Amino acid sequence: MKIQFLGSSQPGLRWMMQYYRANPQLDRSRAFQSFEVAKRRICDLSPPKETYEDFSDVWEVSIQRTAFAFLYTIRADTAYIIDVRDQRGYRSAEALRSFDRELRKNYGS
Amino acid sequence: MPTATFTTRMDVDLKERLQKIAGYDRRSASFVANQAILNLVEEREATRQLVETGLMLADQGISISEGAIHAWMNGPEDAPFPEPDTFEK
Repeated sequence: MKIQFLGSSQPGLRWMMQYYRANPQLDRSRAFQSFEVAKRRICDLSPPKETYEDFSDVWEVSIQRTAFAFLYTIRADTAYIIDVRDQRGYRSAEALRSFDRELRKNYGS
Repeated sequence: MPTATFTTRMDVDLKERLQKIAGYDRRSASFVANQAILNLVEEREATRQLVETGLMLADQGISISEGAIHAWMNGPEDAPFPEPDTFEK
């Protein structure tokens, strides 16, 4: 299975990058290794039994030893990364909503 | 807005820290706890909205390749986020 990122993953990816830049005491390279490992797990393994919240086709895979997790869905032979979620809930709801509005304006619905 | 009582157990240390912050702001601990819970709930709801938009994009087959994201993550801090480069429908 191949991996693709959706535009909706932008705020999560930016937040994660910003978090590691703002906290140089954290081991960024180890976090990035975990990021790669989690991606490979999505490619190589079947999705977990439990889905994210009550979505029927969204799964969550934690990025080990970080506070982040991938939310992804599958279409045919592609796993689409929807979001890189901060599991502590530290992101700004207003920033997420504002980004979402912009994305919907650009891509319909 | 109507309110309801919600009782929860909390570490003693956390309760003291919460009361200290509430004191600085001249607010009740209940108000500050309520704000923290509200932030968490709103963040989860906003994430859910983003997931719904993501599912719509997946159905449209509009996405960004893994390589482009990898290059962005390893590029300069002010590099623009990659534009979609894959259109599968």
